[in-house]
Amino acid sequence: MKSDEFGPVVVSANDLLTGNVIFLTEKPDWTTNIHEAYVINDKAESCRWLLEGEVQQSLFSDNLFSHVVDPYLVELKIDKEVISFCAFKEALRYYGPSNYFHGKRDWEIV
Amino acid sequence: MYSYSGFDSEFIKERTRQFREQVNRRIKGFLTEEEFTPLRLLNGLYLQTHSYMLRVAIPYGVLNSEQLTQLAFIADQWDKGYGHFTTRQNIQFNWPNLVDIPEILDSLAGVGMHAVQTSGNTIRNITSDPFAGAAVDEIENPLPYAELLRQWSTDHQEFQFLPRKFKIAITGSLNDRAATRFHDIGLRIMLKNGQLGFEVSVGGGLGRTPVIGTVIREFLPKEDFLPYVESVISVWNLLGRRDNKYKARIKITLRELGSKEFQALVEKRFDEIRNTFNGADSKTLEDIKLQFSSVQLIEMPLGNYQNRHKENQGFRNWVKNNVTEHKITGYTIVTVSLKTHGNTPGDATSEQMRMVANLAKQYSYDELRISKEQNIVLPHVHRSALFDLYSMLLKAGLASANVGLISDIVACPGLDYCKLATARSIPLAKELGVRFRDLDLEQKIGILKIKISGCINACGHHHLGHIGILGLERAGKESYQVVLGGEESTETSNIGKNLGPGFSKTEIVPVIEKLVNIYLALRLDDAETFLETYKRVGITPFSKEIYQEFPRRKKNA
Repeated sequence: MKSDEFGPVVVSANDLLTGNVIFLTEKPDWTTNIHEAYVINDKAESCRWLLEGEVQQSLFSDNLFSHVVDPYLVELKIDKEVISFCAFKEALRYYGPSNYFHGKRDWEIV
Repeated sequence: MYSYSGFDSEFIKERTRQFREQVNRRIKGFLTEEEFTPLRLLNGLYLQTHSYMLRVAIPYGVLNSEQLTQLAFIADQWDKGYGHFTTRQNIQFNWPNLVDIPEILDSLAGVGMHAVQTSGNTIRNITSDPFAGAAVDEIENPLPYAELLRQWSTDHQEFQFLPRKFKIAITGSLNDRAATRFHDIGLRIMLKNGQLGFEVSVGGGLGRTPVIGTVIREFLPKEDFLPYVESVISVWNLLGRRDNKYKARIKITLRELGSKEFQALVEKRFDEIRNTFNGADSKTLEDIKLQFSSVQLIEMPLGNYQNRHKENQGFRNWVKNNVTEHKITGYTIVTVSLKTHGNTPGDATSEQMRMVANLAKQYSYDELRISKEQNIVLPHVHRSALFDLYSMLLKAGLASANVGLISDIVACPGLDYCKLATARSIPLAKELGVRFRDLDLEQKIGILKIKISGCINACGHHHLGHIGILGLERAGKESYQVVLGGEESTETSNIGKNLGPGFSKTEIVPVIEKLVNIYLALRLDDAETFLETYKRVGITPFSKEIYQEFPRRKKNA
């Protein structure tokens, strides 16, 4: 990103138990659905939310400790509410491997 | 093959118990991820792009049918019904959940398997020749030595926190099918004046700085085998850089220190520790050798082989490409190709694993190998059984007659699975396989090894491909560089040379097709292979034509 532009970004991590890709919501909670992720457009806010991701506890179950592993910021492109990932790697991470359909999501990227 | 002793079984049981506790502590939050990471890596568990990945050790690539059947069970029970065989003769499961790992490890322990030291800064799986014990050109079976190395290196007190990973390969044949010169330590069994010993090379490797290993001992007597290997690692353990993981491998230490200086330090260390090995290693080796010599291959008539071979074109092609002569007359070495055109290289479904396990039990004295070419080898198949074996493989979709041919592609998991990757390798491998099947040129092209890596770490061994492809990222898009002329046999080890600027995802398959057409036009006759033609004419004829057809845009001045 250029220094005078920022966002949109979301906070993403991996779920400790499954390794699945998860995103931080506004609640804050965690979701596997990018459309439920809290989108941040301010640099200072992104630092705050990243910190939130790093201290998150009690994610999918009240009985377990943190399910979050290695939160970081992921850049998005949003065009008329259509969300896509700036980095191809992030798209792959979200949609799943391109050699098999493993029931994650339909693979949309050729 | 080797069977676990009571000590082995107890060790693995205890190791699994320890890791179960570590997993529980991590899940409950008593261990941070930073604390847990080195522990899970020591037990072969990665956190990858989509999920965890468990890398199970297949020591020097050798398995029996019970073990392969258990891997199939694990794939069904805790994964998604398949496994991936790697270029280091291991198997990877791409989708386990963390809570299931202890159960998986228990399941492995039940058949004498584990995931110990398949990751982390330790001595990794010892790799070897998939034809070991069967090859015509073999001086001595390297597998007992590989097993001795495995026992010695597992949980070695001095070598659990090395500067970086450490890889050892060993071969017993003149034709080096283990690529020993591209390992941290490469060991070649030699015969000198009737005495058995080893040529020891050090500091070979691929990755971002590919290097052919330096021979530091031309002939090491076999009784000095283990103390000498320990000396090499002991010296590097002190010198290897710990401030920069990209400069920590022994190949860098050798370059920075100088190979002569390093060799002198190794010899000094060897003198210090040699007598502390009081012969226990030699005794252990002799005990191991007994286990490896227990297979007695029975003499049998050829049966209907000759007629079947004459009558059946498909069987003839399969024998030509997938069957290798055995050192015992009447027997053969069969390579089962896991490179069905359009499939992911190295992947096998649980059903296929069970099927091949049964075939190994029935036709190969219950023994299989995983090759670093990501295929399965049945090392002891009598010629009279080949047609029945072929027929069953055909029914299972595993009779692709393409071993060593252009569609026998080696590919790492790439960006589809690996956190470190910069581009996808699997879709490219699949597309190339289908393309050359559709062109119906494979048999005409002959031996041509394509190897694809999804990043500069080179897990697909692209530096050693006759055509090697490296996937990178440029401006957010996948880009592929091509290298030509890689070769891994000891006498003529060669690192592939870069063709030139890279190609986009849509260009790379046409580029490879063009390279093949250039070869076909330049070769002297049908017998001259791609590699032979390349060596004769050099890279220029290839690069010139390629960049005429696929010109690269020049950067603005």
